[in-house]
Amino acid sequence: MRNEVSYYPEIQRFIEAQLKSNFKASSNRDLHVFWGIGELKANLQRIIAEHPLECACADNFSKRVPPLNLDIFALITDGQKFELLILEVKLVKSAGLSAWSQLVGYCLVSGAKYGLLLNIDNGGSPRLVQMLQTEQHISHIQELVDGGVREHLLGFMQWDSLTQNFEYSNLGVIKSLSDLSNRLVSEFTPPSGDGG
Amino acid sequence: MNTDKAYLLGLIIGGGIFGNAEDAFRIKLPYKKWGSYEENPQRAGQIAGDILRTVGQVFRAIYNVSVQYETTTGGNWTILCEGDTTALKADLTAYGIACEGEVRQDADISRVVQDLVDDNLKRRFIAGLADTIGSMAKSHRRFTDEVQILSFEMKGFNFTFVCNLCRLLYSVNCIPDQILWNHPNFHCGNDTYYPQWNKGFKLRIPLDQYARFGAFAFRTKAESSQANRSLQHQSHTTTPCPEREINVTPTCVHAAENDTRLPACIRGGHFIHNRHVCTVMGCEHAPYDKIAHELTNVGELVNPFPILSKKPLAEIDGIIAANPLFERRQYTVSNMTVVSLYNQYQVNDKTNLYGTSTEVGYPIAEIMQAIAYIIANNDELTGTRPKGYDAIIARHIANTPELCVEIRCPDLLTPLVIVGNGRGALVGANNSTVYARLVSRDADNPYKLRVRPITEEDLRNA
Repeated sequence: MRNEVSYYPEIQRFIEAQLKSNFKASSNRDLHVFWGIGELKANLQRIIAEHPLECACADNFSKRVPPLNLDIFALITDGQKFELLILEVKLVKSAGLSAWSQLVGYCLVSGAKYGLLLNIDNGGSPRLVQMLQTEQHISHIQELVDGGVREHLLGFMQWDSLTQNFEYSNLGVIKSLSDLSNRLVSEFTPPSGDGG
Repeated sequence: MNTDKAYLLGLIIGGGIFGNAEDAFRIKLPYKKWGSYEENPQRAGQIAGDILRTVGQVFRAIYNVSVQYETTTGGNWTILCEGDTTALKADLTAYGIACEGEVRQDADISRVVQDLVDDNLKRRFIAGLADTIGSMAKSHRRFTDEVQILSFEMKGFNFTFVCNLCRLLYSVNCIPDQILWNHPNFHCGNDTYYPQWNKGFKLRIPLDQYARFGAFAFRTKAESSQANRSLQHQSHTTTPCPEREINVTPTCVHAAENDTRLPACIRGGHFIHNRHVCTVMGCEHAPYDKIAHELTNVGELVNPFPILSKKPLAEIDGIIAANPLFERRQYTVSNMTVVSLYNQYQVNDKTNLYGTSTEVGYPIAEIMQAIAYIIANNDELTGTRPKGYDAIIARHIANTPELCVEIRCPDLLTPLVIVGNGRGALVGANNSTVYARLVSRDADNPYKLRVRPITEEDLRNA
């Protein structure tokens, strides 16, 4: 019987491949995805130390982020900008509101913009499904931090361990990995100059 | 392009059908027995789940199109896609894919492939095709369960599509081991008079190779892949095309080689091997040197007559009457005991009979297959195919040692006619020197063979 941690490598591999492919297809540039499992702050600093060229842009963030235990997170960067993606992975018959709350909490505390709740080979509880269908603000959260607005965009997907692929639920504001990729592309693509 | 669109494009190009409706289209999944709810109700339920949960959710997420399904007892499934299809059609059109009729029939995937900028995108596109037209039916196995096959199956005459798909698969190491081209030289290489040659394309990949480098999104497909591979005792890899050996057997010229539905680069050509087509299509992986070597013996590989044609006697008589070259012959009729021919066959199965030399004449192996068809009981035949021709002959001559067939031997080496039991067969002669004179190379493509019709003079001047 596999535990949820044993699924981490295949999930990481798949997400990384989709994000990199989509970034390359859209902007003809390489995207870097670095993974950490467990404590956020120490792992971020390790990643930055190991890949200073690509990850220096996350240095200040790593200094102010509080210590926080996570399932998996990804530091996604093009070398100029970065975003944090948090994965809350479950291996349960149906993922419920408590799992969603965990993800929301992690994103708020860490400041991560993107979060995905992933259940392995199963979907969500009826209550979570209903909430995500009707209450968009619980997957598109905006908080006021130091006078500015910080955004958190979340989604819920099912990992299919047989096909090694995601089954989308269309629940939450992040509906697909290509949707997530598009958002990263638009954030990371420098605005074109107007020549004036 | 993105990974989800790549998968959907694979699905749509594999099975998409556009009608007049602006806000709807269909994706046909020709699963046949494999997907029939009568054959396997549990799998049928899972296919429905795959359509709604996998395909439906991706369509909704990417194009905001909703999905339903229909199925038949025969195992054909249809995904019904409804909603505003403007964005989806714009994407297809941008790739040069016309949203009309059955997409696969005329689709040119070269522009799509250009946008599949890495192996992962290619795999997502291939997964869409595999979920629609990738078949793992028992009939694809090669004699035993040991080498399981995934076969991409396509109707029509889109040779370029098949060639481009093969290249795409090859580029991600899903190396196909064979293409059955939709051409008479492959669907009926023995029988000039077989009209039902238009059976479609089969692009076959050993399942192990596909499982390592390809992908499915349907759980049902992934489960079948696992189940089929579990029947193998070892894993198999495919040798790259240029390194693979080529075994060529003679094929007969077929009138449909000139079928107007065939693309210009193929039409009018005669092909001796499935990878001969690859050379004519200009594939970079085609075994040019090996094919060129085989073409040096082309007279042994091309036969202007049927190598073996088995039909009811009335049809055989009709074929002879309709062909002046056959009709003008003087036939010497003799009744031969089956046992005498069988004994000759057992001594040397490469013998040529009624010929002018050991190399020229009617091959006894084909004669024995013709005889098996003629003497077989109805329950010993599948259509015109004897169920084990050697055993049928042995059984019948054991029961009736004096069993005879009528042999009509022509005065020139046009086909031998074998008759009995209301059935008939034509057996073409081996006559390589004469046949080689019929073959020329296409002016624009040195690998494309053209075979002119044989005349009485050719046979007289042998």
